[in-house]
Amino acid sequence: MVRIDPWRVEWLFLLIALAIIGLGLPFLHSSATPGEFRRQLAWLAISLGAMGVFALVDYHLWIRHAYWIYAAAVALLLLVLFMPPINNARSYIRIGSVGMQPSELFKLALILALARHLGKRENQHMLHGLIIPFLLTLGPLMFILMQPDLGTALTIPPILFATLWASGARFSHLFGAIVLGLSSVWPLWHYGMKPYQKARIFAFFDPEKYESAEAYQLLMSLTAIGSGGASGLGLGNGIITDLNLLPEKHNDFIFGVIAEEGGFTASIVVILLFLFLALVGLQIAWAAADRFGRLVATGVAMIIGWQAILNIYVVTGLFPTTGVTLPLVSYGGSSMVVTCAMIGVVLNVSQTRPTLDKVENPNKI
Amino acid sequence: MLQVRLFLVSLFFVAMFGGAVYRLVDLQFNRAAELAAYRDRRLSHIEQKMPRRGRILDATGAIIAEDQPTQDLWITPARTERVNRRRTVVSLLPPLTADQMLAISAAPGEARDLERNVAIAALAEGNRLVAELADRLKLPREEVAEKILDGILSGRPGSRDDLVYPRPVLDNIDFALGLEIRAARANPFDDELWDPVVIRTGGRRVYPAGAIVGHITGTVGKLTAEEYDELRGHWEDDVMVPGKGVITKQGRVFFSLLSGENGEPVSDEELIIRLREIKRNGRMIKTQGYFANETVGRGGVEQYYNQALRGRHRLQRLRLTRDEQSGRRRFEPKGEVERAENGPDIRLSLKLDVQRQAYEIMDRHIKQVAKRPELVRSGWTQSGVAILMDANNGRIHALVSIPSYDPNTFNRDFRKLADDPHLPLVDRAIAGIYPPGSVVKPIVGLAGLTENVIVPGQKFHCDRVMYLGGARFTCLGRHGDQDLETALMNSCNMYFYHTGELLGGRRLYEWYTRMGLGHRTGIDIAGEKGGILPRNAYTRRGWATGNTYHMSIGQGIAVTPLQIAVSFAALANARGDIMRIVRPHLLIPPPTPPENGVEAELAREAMALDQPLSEIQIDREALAVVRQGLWETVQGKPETGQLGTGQLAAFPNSHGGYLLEVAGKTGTAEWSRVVGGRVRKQISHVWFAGYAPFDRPEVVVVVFLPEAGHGGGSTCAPIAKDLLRMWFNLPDRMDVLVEEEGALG
Repeated sequence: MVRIDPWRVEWLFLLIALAIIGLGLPFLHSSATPGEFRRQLAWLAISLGAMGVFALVDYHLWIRHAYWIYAAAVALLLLVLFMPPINNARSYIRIGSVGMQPSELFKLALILALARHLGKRENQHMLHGLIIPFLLTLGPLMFILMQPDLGTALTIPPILFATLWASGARFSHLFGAIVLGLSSVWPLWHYGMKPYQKARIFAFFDPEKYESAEAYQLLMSLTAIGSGGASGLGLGNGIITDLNLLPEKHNDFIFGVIAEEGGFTASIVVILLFLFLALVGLQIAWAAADRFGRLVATGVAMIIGWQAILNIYVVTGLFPTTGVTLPLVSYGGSSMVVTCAMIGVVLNVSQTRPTLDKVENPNKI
Repeated sequence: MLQVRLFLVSLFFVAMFGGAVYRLVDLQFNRAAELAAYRDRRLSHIEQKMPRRGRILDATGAIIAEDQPTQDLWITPARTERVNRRRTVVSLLPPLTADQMLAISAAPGEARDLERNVAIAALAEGNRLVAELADRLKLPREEVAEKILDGILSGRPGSRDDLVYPRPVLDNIDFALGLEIRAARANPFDDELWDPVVIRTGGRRVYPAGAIVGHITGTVGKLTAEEYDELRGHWEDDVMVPGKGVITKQGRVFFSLLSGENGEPVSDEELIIRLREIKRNGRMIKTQGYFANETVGRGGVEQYYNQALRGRHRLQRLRLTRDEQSGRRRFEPKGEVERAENGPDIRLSLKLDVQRQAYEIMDRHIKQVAKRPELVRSGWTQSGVAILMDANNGRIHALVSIPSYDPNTFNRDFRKLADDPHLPLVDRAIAGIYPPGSVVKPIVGLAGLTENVIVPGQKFHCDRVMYLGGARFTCLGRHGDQDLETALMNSCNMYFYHTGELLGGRRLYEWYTRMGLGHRTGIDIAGEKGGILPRNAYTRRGWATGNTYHMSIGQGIAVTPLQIAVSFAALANARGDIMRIVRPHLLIPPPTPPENGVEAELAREAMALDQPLSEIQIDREALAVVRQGLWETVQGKPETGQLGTGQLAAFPNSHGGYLLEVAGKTGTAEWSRVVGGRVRKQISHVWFAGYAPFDRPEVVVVVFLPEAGHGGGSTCAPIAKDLLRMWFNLPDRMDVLVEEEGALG
C-alpha cells in the first residue's frame, strides 16, 4: 500500500515551477496587450488552483479512471475536427469567450493511460508488449495532425518513448521505432503536409531566400535574440518587441522577447530552470512509490522538458517553425491549466511513499 | 540498471538544453553586433528628398516657366534585405517577383515586349494595389499596371539595386487619395497594401506664355532608362579621389572601389549623392548625378541649364520609432535632417512682352507672305526667324522661330509635332542652316578694305554679266561703276566677285570664321548647330576662283540666322579699332546678385557671358565706309535720290529726316535641290540683317524667311521695320510709306 503525506512535498520541484511562472510574467506583460495579460492572470489563478487540487488528490484515482479520461480526451479531439477553423486550423473548442484546446488535455490523458497500461504489465521488453502503447499514442495523433497541428503532434511521441523507457523497454526496440518513425517522414512530406508547412521547412534551411514571407518570423526572432546581447535591452525596452515586428511574440515566440529584453542573463536562467524542472521531475519519478507514479512523473517531466526544448529550438532557429508554446510562460489558458495540473500530479507522486509493510521492492522492474 | 536509465534520460535533457545554450551564446555574444546592425538597417530606410525645379523668369521678373505642386504617386518595386552581408531583393508587387522584374528589364527587344505584356496582365489580374488604385483613380486596371511596370523598367536594365528605389508612376493624383495614402503610410505596419507606395510632392512644369517661348525654354521630360544608364555617375572632369577611387571623364565611377563607413558596398544612388559632394583642393567637384526617371530639360534653356535648375537631391535616413504618448509608429529622421536644395531661379534677358509682340509681328507677316500664289503652289513651310539682340553684349531680347510648339503640351502632342511637315520642332534661329546670300557682303567689303586689297572710293564696273572660263556670273542689274557704299546699297554682286577674288578663298574663309560664321555662337540654348564653311576655300584643294565668287556673295556656305546676328553685332559695336564678337545669350544676373551658393555661381556665369568671345583689330576708316554703305542700303542716297535695297526698313519723317536711322543689309540666297535626278532651282531664302540706331548702335535685328522668295528687301525689310518700331516704341503712321517694287536683293 502507499501512504500520502501532504508534508513530504518535493518543495524544489514546486519552487522551480513557480520560479518559471514568476520569471515569465513580466515578459508577458511587456509583450501582450493589457487585456491579454489580465486574462492570463485569471488563467494563472485557475491553474494554481488546479495544481493544488491535483497535488492533494491521490493520483491513483486518476490512474483508476485513466481509460475513461483517455476516451473523453479522444472524443474531444474528434469533436474539434467539426469546429469552425481559426487560422486554418481546427484546434479550439469555443464555449462563449473561452477557448479550449483538447490536444492539451490529451497530453495528460495519454500520460495517465500509458501509466495505467504499462504499470499493470511487465512485458515491455518484448516487442508485442509495445503494440498497445503505440496504438494508444499514434491513433489520436492522427486526429491532431488532421487539425492540423504539427507542433502539438511533435510533442506527443516523447511521452510514449519516455514512459516505455522508464518501464523497461529495450533500447534497440525504441531506437528501431524512432528510425521507423523518421523514415515515415517522406510519405508524410508528400501526402500529409500542407504547403505552408513545407514552406516553413524550406525557410528553415534557407532563411534569407524566404525571409519576406515564411522565415520572416524566424529572422525577426533571431534579430531580437541577437540584438539583446549579454544583458538585454531592459524590461519593456525591447525594440523589436515594442515595434511589434515579432509575430506571436506573447505566444510561441515569447522566448524571443525574454532574450531581447532580458538578454543572455534572463534566457540562460529560463533554460536552466527548465532543465532543473525536468531533472527534479525525473528524480521524483525514480523515487516514486510504485510503477504508476514513476511512469506518470516521467511522462510529465518529459512533456514539459521536451516542449521547452522544442520551443527554444524553434525560436533560436535550430528547428523549423512549429507552433509549440513555452510551458508555464506563453500566453494561453489550456496549456497553462494542463501543465499546472501535471505539476500537481507530480507533486502528489512525490508525497506518496511506500509503506513499510510493502513487500514489493520498488527498485525491481 | 534503473539508475542507468535515469542517468541516460537526464543526460538527454542536459544535452538538448546544452545545445540551446550553445546557440544562445553564439547569437547573443558572437553575432550580437551584426544582428543589432541588421535590426537598425531594417528599421531605417532612406528617402530621396526631391528638390523643386528652379523657375525661369524674364528680365522683368515675369514667369516664363515654373513648377506647380502636384501629388505624385511613386512605387518601390522591391525591398532590399541584408543578412550576413548577402543581399536579397524581395518583390513588393506580388505576384510579380523581383527576379521576374529583373528578367523583364534586362530582356532584349521583342522578348521584352512579350514579357512586359505578360507582367502587365499578371499585375492587373492579381495585384491588390493595382485593383485598389484603378478603383480609386477610375482608370482601367491595365493602365495602372502598365504605368507601374513602366516605373519598374525606368531603372537601369537588370539592376537589382534600382528595384529598391521608388520610381514615379502616376503624376498629379487626386488630393484626397494622396492624403489618405500619406496617413496610411505614417503607420507602416497597419496595412501592407500601401507599403510600396510613396506620395511625393512633385511639380508640373507650366509655361504661361506657351508657344511664344517654346523654342527658347524647351520643355521637360523624364529621363529614359537608356539615358540614365548613359549618364549616371558622370563627372565633369577627370578626377582622382585619393584613397577612394578613380573617376574618369568618359564616365564611370568605379563603384566597387567605394564603400560605406563599415566597408559595406553602397548603392549607386547613395554614391551619386556622396560623390557630388567631394571636395578636392578646396574646390567642389561636381558630378551630373542623375537619378533614374528624374525630370530633365528637353531642349532649350531647360536642357542647357538643367544642372542648375534641377537643384540638389538629398538622401534622408529615416528610422522607425514609436511615439511614447500615442503609441503610434512612424519614421523619423535619423541623424541630421536633410533638406533638398531647390533649384535656383534663372533670369533671362528676354522680355516677355517684347517676345510676344515680335512673335505676333512675325506671325502676321508670315500669314501674309503665305498668300503669295507661288508659295501656295509650293506648299511653303510658313516659317520664319526674327532675332532682336543687344549689339554690345549679346543679350537676346527676342528670339522667334515660327512655327513653334507649346511646351505645356509637348509630351502629349509629340507624335503630331514630329510628323508635322512644317517642322515645328526645329528652332530655325539656332539650328537651321541656310546660305546667307548678300547679308555677308559687308564682311567681304570690310575684309577687302582691312586687308588693303581695295581702298575706300575704289570702283568696280558692273555690266550685269561676267564670264570666267566659260562660266557665267551675273548681277541683278547693270549698275555701272560702283564704289563699296553703292555696291552695298544696290547689293551689286560684281563688286564683291572682284573683292573676293582679290582676297582669295583663304582670307575669305578666315574672315567669315572670325566674324562668327560657320560655327556655333555658344548661345545658352541646347541644340545649336554650327553651319558649313567649305574647308577647301582654306586649303585651296579643288578650289576654283568661281567658288570664291560664289562664296563672296554668301552662296555655297550655310549659317544659322543667329550667326548673322553675331556678325552684325560686331559691325555695330566696334569702338575705335576694336570690333567685338559677342556671345549671344539669355542668362542675365538677378538684380541683386547673392554672395555665394549656386545662385552666385550662376550670376558670375551670367556676367561672364556678357564678355565678348573675341576682339578683332580693324581699320576704323574701313569700318566707317562699310557702315556708310549699310546706312545707304536702308536710307538710300538723299543727295541723289537713289534708294537702297533695304528702303522698306527706313523710318523717314515728314520733314526729310529720319525718326530712326537704321543700318542694314538685305539678302536673297538662291539654292537648289536635286529633284528626280535634276538640279532644280528653289524659291530663294530671304534675309534682312541690320542694327539701330545708326550712330549709337543698340540693337541688332535679323529677319529671315526660308524659301519665301521675292527678295529680302521686299519681304523681310518691312518685318524688320515693324520689329524696330516695336523695340524703339515709335509711332505707327509718322513715316511715309514708300511702295516701290523693284530689283531688290
